[in-house]
Amino acid sequence: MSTFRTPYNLIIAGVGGQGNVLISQLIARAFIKKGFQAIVGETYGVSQRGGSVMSHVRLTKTGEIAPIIPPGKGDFVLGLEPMETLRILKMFGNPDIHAMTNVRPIAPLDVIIGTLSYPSLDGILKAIQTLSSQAWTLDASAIALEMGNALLTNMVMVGAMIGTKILPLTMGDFIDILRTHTNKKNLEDNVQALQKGSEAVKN
Amino acid sequence: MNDGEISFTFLRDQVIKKGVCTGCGACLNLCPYLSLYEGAIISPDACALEEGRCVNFCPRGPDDGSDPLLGQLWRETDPENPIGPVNTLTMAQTADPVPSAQYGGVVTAIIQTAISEAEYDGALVTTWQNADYPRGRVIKTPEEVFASAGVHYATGYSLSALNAYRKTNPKPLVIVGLPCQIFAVRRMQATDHPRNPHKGMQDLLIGLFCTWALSPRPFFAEMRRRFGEQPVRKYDIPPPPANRLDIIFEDGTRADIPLDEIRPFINPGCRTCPDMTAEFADISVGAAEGFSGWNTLIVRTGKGTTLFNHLSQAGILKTRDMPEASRSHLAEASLLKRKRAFQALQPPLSEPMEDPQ
Amino acid sequence: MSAPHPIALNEPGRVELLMGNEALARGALEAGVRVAAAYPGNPSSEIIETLSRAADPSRLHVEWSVNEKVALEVAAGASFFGLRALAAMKQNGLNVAYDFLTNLNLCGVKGGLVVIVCDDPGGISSSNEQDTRYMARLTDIPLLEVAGFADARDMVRYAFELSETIGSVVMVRSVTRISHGRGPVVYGPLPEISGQTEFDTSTPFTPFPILTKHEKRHNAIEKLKKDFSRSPFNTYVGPERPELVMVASGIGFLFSREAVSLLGLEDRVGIARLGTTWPLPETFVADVIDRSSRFLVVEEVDPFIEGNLREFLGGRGDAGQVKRIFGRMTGHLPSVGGLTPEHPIAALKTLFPDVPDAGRPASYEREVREASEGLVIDRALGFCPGCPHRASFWAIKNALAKDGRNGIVTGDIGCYAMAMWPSGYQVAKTLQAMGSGIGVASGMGILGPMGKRQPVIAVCGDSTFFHAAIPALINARFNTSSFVAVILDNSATAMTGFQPHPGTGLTCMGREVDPIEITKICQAIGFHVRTVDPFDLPATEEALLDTLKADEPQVLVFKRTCALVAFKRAGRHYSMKVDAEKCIGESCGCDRYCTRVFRCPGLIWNPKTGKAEIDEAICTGCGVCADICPEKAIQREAVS
Ligand SMILES: Cc1cc2nc3c(=O)[nH]c(=O)nc-3n(C[C@@H](O)[C@H](O)[C@H](O)COP(=O)(O)OP(=O)(O)OC[C@H]3O[C@@H](n4cnc5c(N)ncnc54)[C@H](O)[C@@H]3O)c2cc1C
Ligand code: SF4
Ligand code: SF4
Ligand code: SF4
Repeated sequence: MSTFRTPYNLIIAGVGGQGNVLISQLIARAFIKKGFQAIVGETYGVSQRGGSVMSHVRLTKTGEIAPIIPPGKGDFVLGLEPMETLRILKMFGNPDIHAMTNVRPIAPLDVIIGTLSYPSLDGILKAIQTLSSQAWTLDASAIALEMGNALLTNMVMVGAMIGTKILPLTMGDFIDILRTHTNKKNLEDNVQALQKGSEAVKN
Repeated sequence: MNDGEISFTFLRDQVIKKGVCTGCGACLNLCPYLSLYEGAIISPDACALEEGRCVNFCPRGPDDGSDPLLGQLWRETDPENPIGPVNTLTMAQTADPVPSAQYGGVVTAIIQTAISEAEYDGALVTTWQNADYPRGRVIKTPEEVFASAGVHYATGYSLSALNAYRKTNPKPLVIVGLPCQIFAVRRMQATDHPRNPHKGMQDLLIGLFCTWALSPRPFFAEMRRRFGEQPVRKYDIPPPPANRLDIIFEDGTRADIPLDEIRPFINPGCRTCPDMTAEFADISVGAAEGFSGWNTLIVRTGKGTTLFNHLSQAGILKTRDMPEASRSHLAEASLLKRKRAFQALQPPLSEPMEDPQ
Repeated sequence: MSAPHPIALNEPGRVELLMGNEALARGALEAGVRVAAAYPGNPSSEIIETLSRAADPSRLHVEWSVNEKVALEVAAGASFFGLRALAAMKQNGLNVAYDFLTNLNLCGVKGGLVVIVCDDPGGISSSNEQDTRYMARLTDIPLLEVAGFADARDMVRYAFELSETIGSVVMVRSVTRISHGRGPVVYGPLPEISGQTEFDTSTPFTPFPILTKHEKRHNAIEKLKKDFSRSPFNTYVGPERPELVMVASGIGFLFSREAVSLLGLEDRVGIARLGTTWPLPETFVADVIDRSSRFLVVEEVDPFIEGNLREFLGGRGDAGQVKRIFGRMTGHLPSVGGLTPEHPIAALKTLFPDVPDAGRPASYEREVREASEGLVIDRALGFCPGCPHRASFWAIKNALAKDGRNGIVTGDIGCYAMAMWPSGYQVAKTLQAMGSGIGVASGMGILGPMGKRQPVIAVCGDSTFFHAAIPALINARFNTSSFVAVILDNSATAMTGFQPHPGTGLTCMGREVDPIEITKICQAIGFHVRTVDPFDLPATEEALLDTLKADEPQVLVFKRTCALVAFKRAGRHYSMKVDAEKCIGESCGCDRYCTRVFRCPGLIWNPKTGKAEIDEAICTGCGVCADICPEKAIQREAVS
C-alpha cells in the first residue's frame, strides 16, 4: 500500500440505474470513518435515464478539495460497464492508473435504435489494458445474476476492488458502513456479493 | 433491384412526395411503416430495409429496365394497339338489372358468378358507407356482392385490404380494381420475396376503365364544405360530354358539381398513368358512351374468355355489338391517356409535378 | 416516532458526509429556520427534501409550494411574523419568484429570510445556464457564494444573521457541482426552538414610499462594502507580492487552488476567494488589487466579478497604474458554460508560458488516441423503461401522422422535454419555460384566420400544470384559442425525484390531503376534458384524433403513474416475452420495429439470432410493446 498517495482519485463509472451513486457514497463514508477527508462529485440529474454516470471519490488527509478530478489524474477506475470504463480512461487515465471493469455491456439508446453499433468488446478490453498500469476484468453481472439479482453487480465490483488491496480499505471497513446504511434484508446479499467479487480477483 | 437504396425512402421521397403515387394501396398494410388511414397513406416512422416488398409491389417502383411487366406498361404509344390485348370487345349488360350498379352491372354479375365457383375465396371490391372514405374489402356472400355495386371516384387504396387479407388467407380472389391496381396485382404476383403471400396467386382480375381518380382527403374536405356529412348513395359522371359530377344522396336528393371544380382534386399520380383500359386484367369493364345501362367489355385472357363464354351462355350477360364510332373513340381516349403520361413524366420524375389544371 | 434522520441530530462534532444541498439545509437547521418552501428543480431539490426529514408541525414547517414565487411569498409570510424562513429554487425558478423579490427587497423583512438559488452552469439539468448573481445586484440584496460543503452550512447560518441585521432578504448562491457533490461536514449545535409568534401590526411591510425604501437599500449595500471586507468568507492565500492573483468564487475557488498546486505555482500566484460577492467587499478587494498587477477571475458562468472589478478599478482611477484583469471577458476562460478543473489550468499555462506542463506524457496521449479510437460512443438520454411518456409520444406521433396536417407539438419542462429527442420521436418543436407549452400554443391557436392550417398540441406535465399552466389555459379559453392541451399526468414531479404536488394528495411533511384534481380545474375553466390511459395506445390515439378533428379548445389528460414510482410500489404488471417463432426481426414487414423505432430499453436486439428479446433486468413489465409488434410476437402475461 506504499503507492497510496493523497489526494487519491477513485472514479466509479457506469450507466444510470447501476447503483453507481450509492457505492461511491458508501466508499466515501468508509474512508471518512478511517480518518480521511472524502469528497464525492457526481454527474447527477440524468442518472435515471440511461446516460453515462460517473462519481469521483477523492480522498485526502488535509482540507477540502474540489469534487471533480482534473483530467489525467485518476488513480483507480472502477467501471460497472466496459465502454464507460474506457471513457474514463480516455479522460482521466495516466500510465499509473489501475482499472477494474465489469465486462457486461449495456447498449446505449443509439445501439438499441440501430443507428450505431456497440464497439468491439475485445477492442475495449484491450484498450483498457493498454491504458492502465494494471487492469482487472470480471463478469460481475453474471455473478450478480447467479445470485438472482442484477442490482448486486455494484457490490460485486466493490468486493473485487477491495480484493486487489490497492486501496487501504478492508472488507470489514466496508461491511461496517453497509450495516449502518442499508437495511437488514439486503445486508446478507450485499455481503455475499462483496465476497464473491473479492474471490473473483484472487484467482 | 434498387442498389443500396432504402425501399421505404424511395417510396416516400420518389413516389409519394413527388406526386406519382397512383393510390393503388399495394404498399400498404405490409408492415407498420406504410398504412392507410382515412383516405391517406400514413408513415409515422421510417423503415431502413433495402429489399422490401413495398417498392416491388408499387406500380411506380424503381425501373432499371429489366422488369418485363414495367416494360409492357410503358410500351410505346402504338395506334395499332390502342387498348392492349383484346380477345373480345363488346358491349354488355346483365339480364337481370343490378339495382345500384354503376352502368350495366357487369362487374357485379361477374363477381357473383365467379365466387359461386369454388375457385375463388371471395372478391376484393371497393366500397364506402355513408360519408366515409372508399376502401378495399374482401366480400364473400351474394348480399355483400350486391351491396358493393356502384363506383366512388376517389381512390380507395384498396390493395391495402388485399395485403391484410393474404396475411392469414393465402387463397385466390376475384380482384376488381382500377388499371393501376390491376397492374400492381400482377407485380405482386410476380415478386420474388420470401414473405410475399401473393406470389403466383391465380386471381381473376377485373379491371375498370379509368381516366383519373380523385385524392380522397382533399375531395372529401370539399364535399364536407359543400354538403356537410350528408350520406351519399351514388356518384356519376354522365357522358357525353363528361362535364359534371352528379351526386345522389341517401335520402334521394341530388346535387352536381361542374367537373372543372373537381379537377383540382385529381390525384396527381394519375397524370403519370399510361393505362386507361386496365390492360393487365382478365376482363376490363367501362362505360358505354351514349348507351345508358350498358358497359363496354374487353375480354383479354384465356381465363377471361372462359368466364365470359360461361356468362353469355348461361344468359347472365346480354351483349350487343359495339358501333365503330365507339370503338375508335375508345382507342383515341386510350392513346391520349398514354401520350399524356409520357408527357407528364418528362421532365424526368425528379422534377415535382405541376398541379392538374 | 422513528429515530430522527441523521440530518436532524443535535450532536455537535458529529461528522457526516453531506451533499452540498444537505449542507445548505443543515445550515438552515443550525440557524433555527422555522419555515422552508420550494418548488422542486435540479440542482436545488434536495434542500427541501432534506429539511422535510427534520420537519415538525410546531417547530419547522416544510412545504413544496406550487411554484417558486409562492414559495418565496410563503417564506416572507413567516418572516413578517418574525420567524426565520427559507426559500430554495433553481436559477429558472428565481425568475418566477423575481416579481415578488423586486418588491420584497423594498419592504424589508423581520425574521431572517434567505433565498438559496442553485445555478446550473452548463445547463446539465436545465433549459438554460443563467447566472442569477446579476439579479441580486439588481434588487440591491447581498449575495453570498458557497465554495464547499462545510462552507455551505456556515454560509447559510451566517445569511440568516445578516438578513436580520440589515432587515433584508439575503441570497445564497450554490452551483450544481457543489449542490450535488458531497463532503464531510462537522455538525454544530441546533438551537432551542419554542414560543408563540405574532405579527406586529404597527409595522406594515410595503415598498412605499418607494424612494425612501430604495435609498435605505442603497445605504445598506454601501455599509456592507466595508463590513464584508472583514468577512471570513473572503480570504487571501499566497505570496505577499504575487505575479498574479486568482480572484475566484464558488467551485472556481477549489479548481483554482488545485490548478496552482498542480502547476507548482504556489510561490508566484495568490488566490483571493470571494464569498461575499455582492456588494464587492471594497477594502478587501483594494488590498488584493494592490498586491499585483495581473488578475485572473475564475467564476461561473458570466463575468460578474470580472465586470465588477473593472468597474471598481475604473471608479478608483489609479492613474498610471497598469492592472490587467483576465477571465471570461478576455478569452482566458470560455465565455459560456460551467468550469471544469482544466479551465484554470489552461488559463494559467497561457499566463505563465514558462511553467512546465503538468499534463499526461505525450506518449500516453498518443496511446489514448490510438487504443480507444472508435471504441467509445455517446449515450443519448431516453425515457426509462416502461415510462408512460414513451407511450404518450408514440400515440401523439401516430395521431399527428394520421391527421396529416403536419401538426406541431409545443413542449414543456419536465422529463417529457425529451420529446425533442429520439426517445420521444422528436415530436416536440418548442421548449421554453415552465408552462410555456400551453402559453405558446395559445398564441399559435389564434392564427387560424391568418391562414394557419397545422393543428397544435401542447403537452404539459401534472406538476408543471399546477406551477404555471393554469393562467395560460385560462388565457386560451378566454381568447378562444384553438389547440389541444395534453396533460401528461404521471402523478409525480418525476424529473426532480418524485416530489409530491397538489394533485398527489400528500404533502412534503407526509400529511394526507385531498388531491386537487386537474380535470376539475380544466372543466371549471370551461374545457371539455377527456382522460385516457396512455398505455392503451389505440384509445389514446383515437382520443387525440377525435380531439384534433373537433378543432375547438380541448384538454386531454393522459393518466398513468411514472414507471419508477409504479415499479417501486407494485413491481411488474406483466411478465413479457418475445415468441422467437413469431418474431420476424429484420425481415420486410417489421425491420426491428420494437427496438429500432419504439425504442424501449427493456427490449434488446440479438443480432446472433436475428430476434428481439426482453431484457429481464431492465423491462418493467408495462406491457405496451405487445401492442406495437406487427407480428404479435411480444407477449404479455399478467403477474398476479
Ligand atoms: C375512379 C374511377 C374512374 C373511372 N373512370 C372511367 C372512365 O373514365 N371511363 C369509363 O368508361 N369508365 C370509368 N370508370 C368505370 C366505371 O364506368 C364503372 O366502374 C364500370 O363501367 C363498371 O360498371 P358496372 O355497372 O359494371 O359497375 P358495378 O357493377 O356497379 O360495379 C362497380 C365496381 O366498381 C368497384 N369500385 C367502386 N369504386 C371504386 C374505386 N374507387 N376504385 C376501384 N374500384 C371501385 C366496386 O368494387 C364495384 O365492384 C371509372 C371507375 C372509377 C372507380
Ligand atoms: S414493406 Fe418492408 S421494406 Fe417496405 S417499408 Fe415495410 S418493412 Fe420496410
Ligand atoms: S402507387 Fe400504390 S404502391 Fe405505390 S406508393 Fe402509391 S399506393 Fe403505394
Ligand atoms: S416488433 Fe415484433 S416481430 Fe418485430 S422485431 Fe420486435 S418482436 Fe420481432
